[in-house]
Amino acid sequence: MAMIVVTVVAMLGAGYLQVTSALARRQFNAIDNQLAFYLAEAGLAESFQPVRMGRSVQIGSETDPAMFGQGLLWVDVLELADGNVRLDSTGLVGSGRATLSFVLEPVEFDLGFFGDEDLIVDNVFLTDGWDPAAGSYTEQVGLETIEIDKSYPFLHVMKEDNILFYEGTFYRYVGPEKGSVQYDASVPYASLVGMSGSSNYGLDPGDFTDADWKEDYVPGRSDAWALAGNDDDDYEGPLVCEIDFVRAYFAGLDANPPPAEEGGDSGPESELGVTTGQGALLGSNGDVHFTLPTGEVAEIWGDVRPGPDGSVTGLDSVTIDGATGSRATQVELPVVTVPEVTMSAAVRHDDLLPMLIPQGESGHTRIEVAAGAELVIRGPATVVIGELVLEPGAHLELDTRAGEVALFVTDELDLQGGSTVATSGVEPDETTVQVSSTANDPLNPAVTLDATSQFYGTVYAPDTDVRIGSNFEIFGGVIARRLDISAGARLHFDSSGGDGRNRPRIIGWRVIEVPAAARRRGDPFRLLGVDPTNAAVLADAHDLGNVTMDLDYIDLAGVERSYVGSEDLFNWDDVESVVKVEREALRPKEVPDDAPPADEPPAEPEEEVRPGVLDAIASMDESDLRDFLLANLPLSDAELEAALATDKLGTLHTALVLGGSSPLSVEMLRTAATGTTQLDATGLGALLLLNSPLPEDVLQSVADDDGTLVTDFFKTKILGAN
Amino acid sequence: MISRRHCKNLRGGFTLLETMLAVVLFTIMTVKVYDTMQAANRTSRESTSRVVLEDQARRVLNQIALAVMGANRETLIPDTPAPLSMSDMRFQVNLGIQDGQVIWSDPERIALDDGRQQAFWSANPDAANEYRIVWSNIVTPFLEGEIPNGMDDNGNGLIDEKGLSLEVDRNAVRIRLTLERLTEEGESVTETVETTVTCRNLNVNG
Repeated sequence: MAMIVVTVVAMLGAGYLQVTSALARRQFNAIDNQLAFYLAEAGLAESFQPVRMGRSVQIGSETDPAMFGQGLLWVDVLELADGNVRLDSTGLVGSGRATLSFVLEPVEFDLGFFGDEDLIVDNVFLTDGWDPAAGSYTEQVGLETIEIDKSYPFLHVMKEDNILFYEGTFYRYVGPEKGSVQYDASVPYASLVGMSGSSNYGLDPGDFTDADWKEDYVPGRSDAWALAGNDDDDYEGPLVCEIDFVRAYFAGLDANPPPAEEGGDSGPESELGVTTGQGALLGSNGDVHFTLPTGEVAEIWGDVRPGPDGSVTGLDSVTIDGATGSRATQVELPVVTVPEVTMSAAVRHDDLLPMLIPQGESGHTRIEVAAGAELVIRGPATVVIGELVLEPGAHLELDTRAGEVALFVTDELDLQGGSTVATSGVEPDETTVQVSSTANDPLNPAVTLDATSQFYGTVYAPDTDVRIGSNFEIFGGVIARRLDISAGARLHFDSSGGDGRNRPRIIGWRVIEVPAAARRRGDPFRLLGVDPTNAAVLADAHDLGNVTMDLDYIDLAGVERSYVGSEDLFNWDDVESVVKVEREALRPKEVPDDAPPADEPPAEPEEEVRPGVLDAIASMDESDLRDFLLANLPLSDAELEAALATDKLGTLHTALVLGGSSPLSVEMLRTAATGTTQLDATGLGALLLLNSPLPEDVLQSVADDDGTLVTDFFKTKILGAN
Repeated sequence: MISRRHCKNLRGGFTLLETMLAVVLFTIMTVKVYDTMQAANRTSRESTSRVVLEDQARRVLNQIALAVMGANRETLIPDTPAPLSMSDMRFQVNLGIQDGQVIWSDPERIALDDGRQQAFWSANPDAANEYRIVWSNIVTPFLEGEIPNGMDDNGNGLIDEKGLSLEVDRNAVRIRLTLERLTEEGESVTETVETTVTCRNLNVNG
């Protein structure tokens, strides 16, 4: 009885233990899986920034994983056909396994207005940001675009899209005058039409009631206003106008535009006008210095980001409505790759009819556009210009209605004051200006953007200087070696791409199957044969052997040095500071689906047998055959076999025909190496040397040869070449 | 003589009183031990039940979280920040990249079936070829501590949230789940879990 009781109790105990144990095991598995997931995420996070730095991003490997916490992980990298990078991160903790896949777009230039060298700000200019995807800039600053009713007789302009209605204040039009502007005091809207800029409209300046008002409100344009005081009827200056006008009920009543209504949607006002109040991005690989004259204060409606070792100075003369932290890494600016196009001769365009650069690719050594003339680039177009000069009064139109315009300038881009530039679209992506010049003269920069403009696009000049004039309003970004921004300039950063931190863009994330080698349960260290005491920690497991680094640095002794080579061989202990670093990683490439497997040689193209050749070979006599074959080199395998089979060639012509048809196929080389052709030891030796490296079996037969197949001289040469 | 009789008495066993006392004590002890064992057993079952329930809740929560992380943000229902929430989410997940473009799955759905107390995942919802997998069939109609009265009863900032509630705020989704089961004694055991995850697939056009 006692035994029965003991047995029953023991069985119950064992069962209970098993249930508890199974429950605990399941819980541990769940926890391990969760930890493995976090570990795989840690691997992706560790790889994320190195993609931007140009590293290979391979971290550890299946055979040599990195240790992190209580587990192991590795990240495999693959460069996809479209240039994106795929990362597969596998984490193993206890019985937990997880593999996550990430696809990234590695490079994205959200640099805003960026100088590779120190950026010095000594003027007050307007800088903010806006997101084109969320509407036009004017909408985002709380302004509206006016619909011009052309039934009014006083105003007929072609570019009405550029006429803005500043809510409750005034309208503005900036751009070339292509129609006519008539002043008619009987029309209420025309009660006050202010006009500045060079004009030939036949207006009497006396009609304008308040010149001071305009001068104050449109800084930097009083010179043009003074010009308007001339006898306009006779004026034949540049066809440029800027028109500010207010509704009738403001006409002549107020010296200043009324303030924006409280509680309205318009953005904050700066000294130079209404802004979005956010999104600006000024940056540098070095320092950013604000050195404004006493009493002047710059307003930055967004971030200012110096280089990794840089800082922002002069904060007492600037109000920054964003971050001022340093960038994590140096921004590498790739050189401009100019397309190879045929360049036409230099041209000076001074005709009244516009000069049109049509769609497609074209090249021009120099284009100089004279006052009153117009240059139109019609997209989609890729245009290479050595020097592009717009004289005062000239106009450049970048027409992107049908496609993007990519303008490459190799030497000089000089958009002089008084000229105008217009882009037909309002998407910054549609227009890019890339300058490959390496000219280094800050006083005479290779890129001068002094035109009057509302330019939607990006200017990229990584190796030269760019000056942005006070009338060049730009919606997009400018990247230069040195950036010189004039007082009154308006810089609006296209912030749609991100926050300017130049991070890789995430294309896709998903959970994928764990690699076969890691699927078995059990202790990952034992499973993969890793000794925990010797395993590399995560930070040290980056594969630097596949990264070529070009580094300029200051060593501990203060001497500037350079290094070019594999990153893993460089000793960072000797570096005091980095001047410049560029990396180029060798990543495994994606193999297209239709490519042959790597371990199979590519399929050889099918042999071509020219019609009638085999018949000719069979029917010709010895002399004609030799001439025919030499005239038709190289021959295909089938043609060669037919020719050799005739036994009509002799030693010399056999050598000439086989040599002239080289490189020979493997089969033909094997045939020749058997010694069955009419080649002698010298001829065969020369032929095999010509076709080196040889297949293994052919090479072996040469190595085993005692001088009958090839001469000792060629044997030595062939073995050396293989 | 006296001593012999005395010895005889000693060999004669326990008195009735002694025996009754022993029986009573034994009974009391047995009852006490039984009660203690019962209590321990009940506590153990309850504890196991709670652990099993939490385990199940975590598993369901992780499955929902993984789906949200892999989902295309633009296919999720628009933001439902507190005090709003939802208990029915439709989405598509990333299947991989082909020719530079993300391949998205057929529509999927995670939802609460109030009537059956089921949290389920389904593919091709509302289509003829829809199929479902029930992840749990012990989901409470409302989150723990919440009753349908138009107020935030449990102080989590949500009003009348269901047993499975999803609160979407920009790219983040907060998931809350309450499971409830009855023990053998008919007692209710409830477990509530929650987590917040972020959608990883934001650039739908790749």
